Amino acid sequence: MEKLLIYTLLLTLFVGGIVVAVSFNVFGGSPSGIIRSLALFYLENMYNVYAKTFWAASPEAVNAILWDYRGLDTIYETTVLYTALIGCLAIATGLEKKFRPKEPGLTIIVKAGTRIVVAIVILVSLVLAFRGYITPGGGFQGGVAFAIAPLLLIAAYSWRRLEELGFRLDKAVLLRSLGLAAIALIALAPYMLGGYILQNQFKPWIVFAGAPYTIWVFYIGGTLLFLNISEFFVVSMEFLMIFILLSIIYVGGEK
Amino acid sequence: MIEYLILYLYTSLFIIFAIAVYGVVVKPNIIKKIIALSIAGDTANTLIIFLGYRLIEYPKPPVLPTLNPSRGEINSFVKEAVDPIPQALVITAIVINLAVVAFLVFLSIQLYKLYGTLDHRKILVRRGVGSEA
Repeated sequence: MEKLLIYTLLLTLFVGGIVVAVSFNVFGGSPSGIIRSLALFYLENMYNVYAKTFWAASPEAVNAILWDYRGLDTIYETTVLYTALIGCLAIATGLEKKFRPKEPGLTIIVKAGTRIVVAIVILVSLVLAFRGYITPGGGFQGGVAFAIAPLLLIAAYSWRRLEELGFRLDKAVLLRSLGLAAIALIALAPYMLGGYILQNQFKPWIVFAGAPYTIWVFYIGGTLLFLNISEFFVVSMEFLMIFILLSIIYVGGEK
Repeated sequence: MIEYLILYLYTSLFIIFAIAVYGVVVKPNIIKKIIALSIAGDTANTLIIFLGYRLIEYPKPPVLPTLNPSRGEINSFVKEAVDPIPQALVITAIVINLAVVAFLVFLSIQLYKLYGTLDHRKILVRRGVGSEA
């Protein structure tokens, strides 16, 4: 018990020291009126229609950085996500599954509320993903927002109801794989056409003509729209897989 | 006033972080350790986003509100928008944090199947390594 007290005191002192150090700007990087020059470069060039050498064709800075300037980082982060999911699936295959019969679920009040909320959640997640290159949002955000819908359905109904609605494990695996394949294809297509991997817009020193940033009257921001949609499918379906697996694994009582 | 608010935010963030570290170190239940770990991750994300804030009177989000900006609009946007790089970092960090937490949950399910408990002391006892304290 005394040991615990000493640990707590040490931790308190440590935290207090860090707070004082950071608030007196010892480490640097505390907010000020001037932001980093790299951020200024992104803000100035991401949608500079007058000097298009470094532009990303997206008026939304976060998406421009995610999929254009730092696109390879995002690809590797998708790989980390994919690997974590493969680990989950590998562990889940060794666990006993219990396919319960159809359960009554919660009361009708909760069910009615859940129906409305699930519809809104799916709509909002689609808007986040499909308009992420213009307004705040993107593939990651939309996918994570979508993941709430199956979770709510499992809680209020049961996973059987989820299966009846078409959220099935094999379908989720298929859509996830299609999303990953689409990301790989979009990333490699400029390379095949004589540009860089993941190149979005035209650069004066390389052959690739750049992805078109408007189709008919719609502004699509080059490859950003398609990358966002693919990422939406990858992230949302991976979380759907996690939730379905967690709800069908049989754990049992304490021994 | 604004300096006071910044100090307040730093203090609360680091206190939450300390609580999370305490939970990871001291709590015996593995699920509680995972919860504390995800709290620590969220605190770090909040801190990173806060470091990208711009300390001017009315900072703007890093989104241009028009598809046909004039030169003046771009210039004023560059002068007023907050730093977008921490936000771009954090959005991927959140998703990866979720995936890692899911992986840890699956690992703890496997542990529960093997040992019938999630208390790490009891797990050691049931493996025959530690002794019941």
